[in-house]
Amino acid sequence: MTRNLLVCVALGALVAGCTAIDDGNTSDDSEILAPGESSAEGANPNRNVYFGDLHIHTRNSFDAYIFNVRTTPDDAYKFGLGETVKHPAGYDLKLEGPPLDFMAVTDHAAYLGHLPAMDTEGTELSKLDMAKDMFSDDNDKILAAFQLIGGSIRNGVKIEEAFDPKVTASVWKDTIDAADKYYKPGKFTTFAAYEYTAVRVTRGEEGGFAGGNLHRNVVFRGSAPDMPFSTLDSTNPEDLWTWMDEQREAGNESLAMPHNSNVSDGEMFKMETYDGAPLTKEYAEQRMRNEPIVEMTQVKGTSETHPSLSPNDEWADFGIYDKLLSSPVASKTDTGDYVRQALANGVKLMETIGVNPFAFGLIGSSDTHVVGGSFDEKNFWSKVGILDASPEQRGSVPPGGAKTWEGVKLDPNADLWFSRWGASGFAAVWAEENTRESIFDAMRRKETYATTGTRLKVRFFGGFGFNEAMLDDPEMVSKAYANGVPMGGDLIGNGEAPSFLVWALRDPMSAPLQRLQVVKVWVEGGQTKEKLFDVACSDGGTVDPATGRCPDNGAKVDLSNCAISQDKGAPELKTMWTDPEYKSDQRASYYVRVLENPVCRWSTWDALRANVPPNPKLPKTIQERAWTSPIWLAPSEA
Amino acid sequence: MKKLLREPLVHFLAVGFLVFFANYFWTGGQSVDDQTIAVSDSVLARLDDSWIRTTGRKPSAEDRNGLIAQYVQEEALAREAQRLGLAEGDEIIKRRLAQKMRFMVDREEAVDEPSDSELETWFAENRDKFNIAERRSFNHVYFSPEQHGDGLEGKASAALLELQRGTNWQSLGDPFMQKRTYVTVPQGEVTRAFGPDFAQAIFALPKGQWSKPIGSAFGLHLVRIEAVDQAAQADFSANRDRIRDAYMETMAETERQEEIERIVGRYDVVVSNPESGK
Repeated sequence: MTRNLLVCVALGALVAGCTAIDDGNTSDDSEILAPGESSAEGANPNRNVYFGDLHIHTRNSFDAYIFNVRTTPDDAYKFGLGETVKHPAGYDLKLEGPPLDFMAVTDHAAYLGHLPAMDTEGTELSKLDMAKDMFSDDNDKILAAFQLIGGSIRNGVKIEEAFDPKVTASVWKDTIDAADKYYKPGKFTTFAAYEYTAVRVTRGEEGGFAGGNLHRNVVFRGSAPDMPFSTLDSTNPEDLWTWMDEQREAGNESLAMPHNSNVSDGEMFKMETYDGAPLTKEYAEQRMRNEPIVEMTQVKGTSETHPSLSPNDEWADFGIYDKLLSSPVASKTDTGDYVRQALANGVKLMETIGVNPFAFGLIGSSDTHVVGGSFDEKNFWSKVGILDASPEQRGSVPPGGAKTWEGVKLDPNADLWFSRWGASGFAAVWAEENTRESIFDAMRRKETYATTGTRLKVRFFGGFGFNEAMLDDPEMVSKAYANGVPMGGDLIGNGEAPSFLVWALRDPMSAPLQRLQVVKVWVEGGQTKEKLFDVACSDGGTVDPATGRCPDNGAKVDLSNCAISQDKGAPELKTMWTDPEYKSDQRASYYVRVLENPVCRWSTWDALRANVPPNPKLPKTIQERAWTSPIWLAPSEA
Repeated sequence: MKKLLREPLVHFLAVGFLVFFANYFWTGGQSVDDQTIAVSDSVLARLDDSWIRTTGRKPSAEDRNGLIAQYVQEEALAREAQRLGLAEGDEIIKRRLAQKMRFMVDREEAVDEPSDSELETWFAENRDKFNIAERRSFNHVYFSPEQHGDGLEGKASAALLELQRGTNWQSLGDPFMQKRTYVTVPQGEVTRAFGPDFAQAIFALPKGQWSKPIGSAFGLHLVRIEAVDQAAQADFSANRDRIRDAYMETMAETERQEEIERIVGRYDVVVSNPESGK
């Protein structure tokens, strides 16, 4: 007992004391006051947009520690505030653009802080054979030890001697304390949070390590319990929801955000329960109570939709990453993996079981494992520490100093995984003020949107009785709130077609806007349907009524230097849109997608710097984008 | 336990670890005696190379000195740690040893709480770090190029005449998604919200009158500066907590650096100079 307490104390000191060595490189900006310090303001009833990252790993995650990450939750917050932190490969990481407005550190709850403890002399855990192997110089031993931990997290079978709940409790408390320390109400918001890391074995024995990713991040509004609920408690996410319900009763309010449904092997949004039973009203209610928003874009791909599911969406090929975690096996794409399909299935379930279990809003985040998210195409450092630290490791530059891609056989890690990843994304939230309560409540009501790392701003309202004149009315936003619902809201039909107000403003540090789009999903004759509408075009273009598309605005990227057209695109786009195919008896859901002009993809920037051609297997350019939470439209009550 | 051991291998980790180890052994291989740190031509070339890959440019002389100092420090710390027997075997990875050694010299807990007078003395010497940048408060009227196209400038100029005739500024211009009133913001924050040209322009404007149209990343704006808070020095008592935190952090860092320098000082450093004659 005493010994264990000493372990906790030692570990606590280690975690608190092991900040990165300051290289004297921090900004000597004369604005030494904390970022945003001067502009803390009272609540804005028309709401402000705040940008954040709710998916960040530090040394306390079992995998990050093996990726050689030694930076801490404190470092994560410092990075978010604009300070420089070290990548495990030795170079500096600094956020492009303004400081973040809100953040959560989300280390893997299972074996939280256990690897640092195993690597600390004098702890009980360091005396285990497994720990000696894990930090030995024998590659096979390291792998075997690491797989014991990884395997245990997957199958939920605790390795009793390697699991010390006091270490988990102590490091979890440190995580909460770090969040409290950096929380500055009105200026910078932090949350106590962690990742619930469930993976479902879906391919049987012959499938090897391939499994369905069912990961969730759990974020607490304020107070948090003494211990997180991890896969060592249960690998069934429905048990996580039950625990969250119990915690809510006890005063610890939280929500869980699924991520990487793109590699869930059909499991994340499947049309039955975990155990294969039909979905029920109770299931849907519990799911919505606990999972009102989904992390749709992050470094390991974007889960909006897939070209095979949305053949009439020319932009559906964005951020496609489909390899199951740590596996060369492709995830099932036909059902259960993609958000747009789930939104449509949810509308259908509303008709059959009376509650929509997939009525979720959208956010993005980074999933960085090096404490600092990599959001900027120009300066990408990916996410798994020393494994993907250099352009060669990421497959954007040919190996061994080669100057051509002729005859190059890429390392499978680079080829199948790292080169397919993206510099994404942010969680954007419309909230009255920058506080835990205000931002959390906005997430609960789904007044959120996801971006791929741009900080463009987008408003989306639906209502009856909106009119064109509102677009130029200085009171537009307050009128839209008064007479309609914002993104994430529900409209009840009244027989007339609702109007949708869509308004986007560019990020001055990113490319200008190209077009605004609305994605509609609905049910017709028992079948789910989807359709993409362009609703506003840049450069004076108008939507062709026959194709539903804007003309090409002619924006180009010069691949010799990554310069973009200076005279194309719009600083803002704004429109009032009415669904031309509206039917009063139809149940539907609408969300907005905003597309920027194209820019070089990170891999093209890497190649340009190394003076080699871009990898021919990768897209050379991308269009940064944002997706709002949907607005749901119920049919008119007869 | 046996069942767990039979869990299929994690492919990416297998390959990852090869990279992991290649990286460490790659940095080894110098053949010099224990008390000499030789920064050979090949080491220098490699330092240059990794710099170029990370930053996209060649290191300046100053950058190179920094790289060498960093390399020497790492080498010295690693050897020192090895001398102290922190390694269980000969092949323990150098970088991790240096990291462990840095942890050992971390003195954050050892810094004494300063008295008020100590803190004030330190603050007097480090006042610059706490200076407050110039802040401005302004209102602006926005004109959207999407709304007015070629008529944009004319629209803005006409509105300026309206303003000079005393029309309420809030009734003019197009709706703007960001704020129309900014209060006590430094130039950096204006740059982030509107782009650098706009920020520079409004920090050069006189107070109290409507400007000519000013361009930003979004279009044209008429701007009136309502207040200028000059750059100022921070007051000790109002900022005591912040000053105390900075003091503690600085002292811990100083102690850590001194300890590292003391360790590095135990070694003779011989750096080969590729450009002969200097």
